[in-house]
Parts: sequence; C-alpha cells; structure tokens
Amino acid sequence: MLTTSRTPARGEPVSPGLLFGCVFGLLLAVTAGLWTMWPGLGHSMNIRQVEPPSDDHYLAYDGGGNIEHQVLYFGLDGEAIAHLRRADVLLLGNSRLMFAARPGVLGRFFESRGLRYYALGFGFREADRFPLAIIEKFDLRPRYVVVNADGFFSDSLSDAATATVSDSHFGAWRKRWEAEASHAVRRVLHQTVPNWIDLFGRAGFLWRREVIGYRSRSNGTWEVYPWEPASLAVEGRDMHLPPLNIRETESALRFHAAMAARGAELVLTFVPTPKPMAGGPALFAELLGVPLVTSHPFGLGSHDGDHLDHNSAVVWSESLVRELGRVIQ
Amino acid sequence: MNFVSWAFAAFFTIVFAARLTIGRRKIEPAFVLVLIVSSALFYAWHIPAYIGILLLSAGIDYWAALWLERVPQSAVGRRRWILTISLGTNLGLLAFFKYSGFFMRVLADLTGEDAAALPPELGIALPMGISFYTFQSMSYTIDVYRGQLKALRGFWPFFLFISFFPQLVAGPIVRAVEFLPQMPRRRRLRACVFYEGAWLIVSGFFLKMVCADNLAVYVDEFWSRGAAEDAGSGFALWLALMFSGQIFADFAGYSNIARGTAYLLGYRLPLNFNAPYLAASFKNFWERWHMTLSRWLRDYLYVPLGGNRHGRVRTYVNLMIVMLLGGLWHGAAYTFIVWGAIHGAALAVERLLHLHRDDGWGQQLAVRVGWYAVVQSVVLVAWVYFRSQSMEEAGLILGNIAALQDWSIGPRETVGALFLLPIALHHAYVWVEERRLLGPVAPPTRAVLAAGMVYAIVTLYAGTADFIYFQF
Repeated sequence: MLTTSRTPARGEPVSPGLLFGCVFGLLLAVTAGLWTMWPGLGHSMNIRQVEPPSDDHYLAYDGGGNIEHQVLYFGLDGEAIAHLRRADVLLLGNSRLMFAARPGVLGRFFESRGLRYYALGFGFREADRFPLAIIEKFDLRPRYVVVNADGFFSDSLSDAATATVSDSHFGAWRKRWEAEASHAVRRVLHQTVPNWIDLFGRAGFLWRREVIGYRSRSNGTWEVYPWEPASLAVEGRDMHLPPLNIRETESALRFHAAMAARGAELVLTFVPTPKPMAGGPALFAELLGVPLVTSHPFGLGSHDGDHLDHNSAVVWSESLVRELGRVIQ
Repeated sequence: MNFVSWAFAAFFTIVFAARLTIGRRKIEPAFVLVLIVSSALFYAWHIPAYIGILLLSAGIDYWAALWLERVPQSAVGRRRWILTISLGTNLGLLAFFKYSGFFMRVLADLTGEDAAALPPELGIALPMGISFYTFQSMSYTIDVYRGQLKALRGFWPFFLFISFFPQLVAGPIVRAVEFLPQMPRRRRLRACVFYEGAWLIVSGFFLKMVCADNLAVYVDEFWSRGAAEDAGSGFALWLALMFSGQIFADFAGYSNIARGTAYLLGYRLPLNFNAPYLAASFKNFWERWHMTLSRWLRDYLYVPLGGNRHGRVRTYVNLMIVMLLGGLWHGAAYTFIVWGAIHGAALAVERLLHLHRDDGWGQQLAVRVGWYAVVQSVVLVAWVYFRSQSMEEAGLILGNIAALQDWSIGPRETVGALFLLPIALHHAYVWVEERRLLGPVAPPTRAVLAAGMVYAIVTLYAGTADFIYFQF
C-alpha cells in the first residue's frame, strides 16, 4: 500500500490528506445543513425529488446527456421497439410536440378507436430524416402519421441524430450505460448536496434549467422535470406564413411519398409556441393535399419560452384529439 | 473512454488497485500486463474494432525500427525506404480517416463542382486520438532512424509506450526517449507521489467539469449569435474570451488528469500547458501552449525543413509551413488552416522585428507590454477562427468586435465570465511564481484548495461534454 518517505515529526503540519478530508467534510456538512434548514432553498427542482413515473419509463435525458436517440435508433430497449412496431398511429415532431403530447388524453382517444399510438418525436430541433430512418430501419407500417409541421420538413439531422447514426451499437449501449450510471450516482449524491446550477438554473438562462426526461416504452411520450407553471402566454399564429422554400418543399414531398409507400396517411398539425414559427403548416397541407388539424385553445402558456406548460399541454392534447376525430376513423 | 465518465472511475479504480497490490515496484510483469490490457480496453471502449488500427500503426513502426537497426547507416536508400513505409502508414491512416472528406470538398471548390453533389463522405467515425498516437509512433521510428534511440526488442513494451492510456487519446505527446527509460525503473508509490498525482487529477477535473464545461454552455449557446448583425462589440469579445478560457481549461484539464493518473501508476508525463495567456511573445506562447505538440513540430518538422539555418526568408517560410500543418493537424477545415496561418505569420513577423528574444529593443518595458497586448489579441483572433463553423462566421464575429460599438454586457455575460476567474487566478499565480515573489503552493494549502475544487466539482459541474481535443 502507500508508503511514506519518512515518519512525520511531532509538531509538523497536519497531513494533507487529513486536511483535505476535514475541509471537504466541513463544506459538505455546511451545505447539507443549509440546504435542509434554509427556508426556500429546496423549493426548486432537484434530482432527489425526481422519480421515474413508472416502470414503463426509461431514462431519456439527464445532465446534458441525451440517450433516447440511441435507444430508439439502435433498438436498445426491446419493449419500446415492440410497442413502436405495433403502433397504428405515429406522432412525429420536435420537442414541442413531445411536451404537448399528453398520454392520458391521447391514450383515451386512441383506445376508444381501437388504435395504438406511439410518439416518435425527439428533442434538439429534430426534423424529418431521423424519424424516417427509424421508420425504415424497423420497417414500421402505421396507418396514420401525425406530424407537427413546425420545422419538420427540412431534410436535416440534428447534432444528436448525426452523432447517433454515425455511432455503433456498442457505442450506443456504452453511452446509455454511462448515462444511467451517472443518473444513479447523481440521485444518491444529491441527496446530500445539491448541484447549484440544477437547483437554481443558470444565470442568464431564465428558461434553460437542466431537465431530466423519462420516456414511456409503451407509447413514447415524455415525462420531464422540472415542468413548472406557465410564465408566458402563447399567442395565436397565421398558419399560412412563412412561405415554403425549395428544400422544405422537396423534403415534404419526399416524406409524403415515403409514408404513402408504407400505406400511411399523413396528417399535419402545429403545436403552438412563443418562438418564431419555422414552417407554414397550412401551406404544407395544401402542397401535400393532406388534412391539417390545428387548434389554438384560449389561454395556452409556456413555462420556458419554447414549450407548452403541463396544463396547456393537456388542453392542447384535448383539442388535438377533437380535431383528429374528424380525420381518423 | 472519457476521463469524465463513471466507466473511467471504475476502470481507474481497478488499475490503481493493481498498482497498490501487484505493481508496488511498477516493473512487475503482471502489472505491466495489466497496463497493456487496460490501455487496450480503454481504447476499445470507444469503438472496439479500432484497436486494430492502433495495432497496425504500432506494429508497422515496431517492425520498421527493428529493420532500420539491421540495415547499416551507409545504406541510405534502403533506410529511407523503411522510414517512408513507417511514415506513409501513419500519415496514410491520418489522411484516410481525417482528411478524405475535406480534400474532396477542396477539390469541389477548385473545380467549381457542387460540393453537395459529391458522393457522401465515408461515414466512418474518426478513431479517437489518432492524431496523437500516430505522431508519437512516428517520433519513435524517426529517432531510431536518426540513431538517437535503440529499437525495442519486444513488441508489447513498445505497444505500452504507444497505448499507455493516460495519454493515449489527447496527449501529452510523449517521446520515446522520455517514456522508454522509465519502463524498467522502479517507482514505489510514496505519500508525496500520491498527493502530487491526486492534486493533478483534482485540478484537471476542476478545470474540465467546472470551468470548461460551464464556459461551453455559454459558448455553444451564443456563438452563432456573436455573428449576428446586431451583436455588439462587447458581446462578441466576451464570446471570444469565453472560448479562449474554455479551450484552455478543457485541454489543460485533460493534460492534468493524464499526468496525474500516469504519475499514480509510476510514470511521469511532460508538462503540456504553462499559463499560455501570460506569453509576451508568440514564440513564448508556443513554449506554454500544447508544449508537447510544438516540441514535436519543432524537432520533426521545423528542424528537418532547415529551421533558421538557411537565411531569413527560408526561416519565415519554414515557420509558415510548420504552423499551417499544425493547423491542419487539428482538423480538416479551412478555419483550422487560417488559425495555423495566423500563428505562422505572427511568428515570422515577430522574428522579423526581433521581438522573439529578450534582448535589443524588445527589452524596453513599453515595447514588451505593447507586444504582449498584440500577442494575446492575435491569439484571441486566431481562437475565433478555431471555434467558428465557417470562415464567414469567424469574419462576422471579428467584424462585430472591430466595429467598436456597443460595449455593454448584461448580467448573463458577467455571471458567465465568473467561470473564467479560476483560470485568471491560476495565470496570476504562475506570473507571481515565475518572478519568485511567491514559492510553489505548500502541501497544506494545496489540500485546502483541492477540497474546495472537489466541492465545486460536486456542486457546480455542468453535464458531461467530450473533451474538445477528442475530435482531433
């Protein structure tokens, strides 16, 4: 084991190891004490309050690490892929759709029609190429594909998707293992001391707190933490703006053809957001000759300046299924 | 394997346990075997099949060095052929994995073809650390060719030199003459060695997880906004400073962890960073920044090109060639080439003005201070090219700084800049220490600092981001 070069003499300075332990222990103790006793210090989200909603959910995102791209592209979760293969309806889009798609509402609607649905949207402004790659990889044959047209038809891959498709099965497995190990350690570590940035958010990033996300195996929907009440109203939009460009047009036509070849009917929608709109859903619907189901219930709000807050998401999902009822039999 | 991962924590715990048990003198065959196997495992954790590339590079160089020793010095032609095979293999691997896509884009630019119409890039992931271990491997063959080093008889000791996991992925680039003599040397793990290694590891993780990763959040989020038309000079300059801090903390952090883990396992790795933003000349910057790469470029490129032995013009040309290739080494993009060109031109101008040495008119305080400002400003400009996705983006950010309009920065920028503070304090301490105004940090002070840094790591870490130099 460790050997010392000489025996310390009486009156010599304290051992660095001991000093390190004392100072570090003191800092931890003071922090733990403050965190427990200081009023309001624990009010914000912290990882110790977060639990996976059920056994049906797996870790999708934590601590800056996104792993759902790997899980679904490489089929790392057999149960999730089995549900994905069986889905009659796929919901596609970016993170705005994933926040907005509430399983309670959607589940009741689709079950009443004898259909199974799966939300195959992704964060990181994911567009059409990545979900299409998954559809082709697993040879999915849904009856309906509902697309949040907001920035979807752009023939592009997000950075996360680019990293995923150039990864190997082993690399994906490794990344998931590391993320889950990190998540487990964080949950234990932060029982005692917080990560101050997770707790209070990052100065200057008022709506950009670290989020922890779990994804349902059975229907693909997200549960995210923290998901605070709305702090910003979401205004209505003119669905005919802005104009289409050639890249978007070609991308939309290609995607529509790919779905038609699989026997799927395409339906477009639009999830309201306070952010600038990236694509005119009405124009896409006209171009493709497919139904557009949009609604903007009164009083929608956003908690982070981008996505709907939980209550608004439920309201929007309810309005979506009302509209969908007219086109999905 | 990434140092900032639980996989590495578990991995290093096992290897260190082996050091404490079966490797107490460091030279025990069982411990050497553990190091070889663990280094291979460390590398295979990225993409298992790529261990073959590492073995290929090491195997060719091992064989070339043995062959070089058998061929007499007088057989110059044959010796050159052997060296060419070694260098060709390494440079060929680099060219294939790193530059094929880039050269296709350059060709398309030159011929006026639509780059998007070209066949898709090979879609092959870059083997982690290929730029580092190929350089290390080449230095061995060149040293044997020059007669400065005896070829190793056994392949596995050579493989350990190439693949030693602390420095395998992002350096420091260790020369064979530094590493090989350490292999048969006994090193017991004394308490002072443990503290030194632990200090390096803790400071490395602090630089990476607290400084670099937090700075990266701001840089990644706002970099493209720095190129926007309405971005003020203060904001654009803030971004450039944030990135200069990020890349230092990221790379110096990696180097510290590498040196610390190696030290705990009984090996000394060379210093790679020494407060580079104190440099008062471009020459001095390269004596402080990525020191093992600049040393490699000097010994294996600049000097063979003729160095400063063939007149002034040839010296300037050599400096430009070396720095251009140094830029290209970092990555296959025009922005890296411009980064290298800026440093090459700056080194040449500095030499022209005789400001690379501490004599003559360069001794005057006003000149030194003025030149320090020039050096650090040019370094900052070069970092903007290094970080930008395109030449256009870099030009827009620099244009916004040069516009000298709107220097206001908000609370977000001020808070973000706090993560630069530890880097500034480190530089300030080195400055004071170099002038012998203060001595090295005493062990008890280090212990208190280390406790504070570990506390900061636990409570302020910012997600897990790969090291910037992993992509090189």
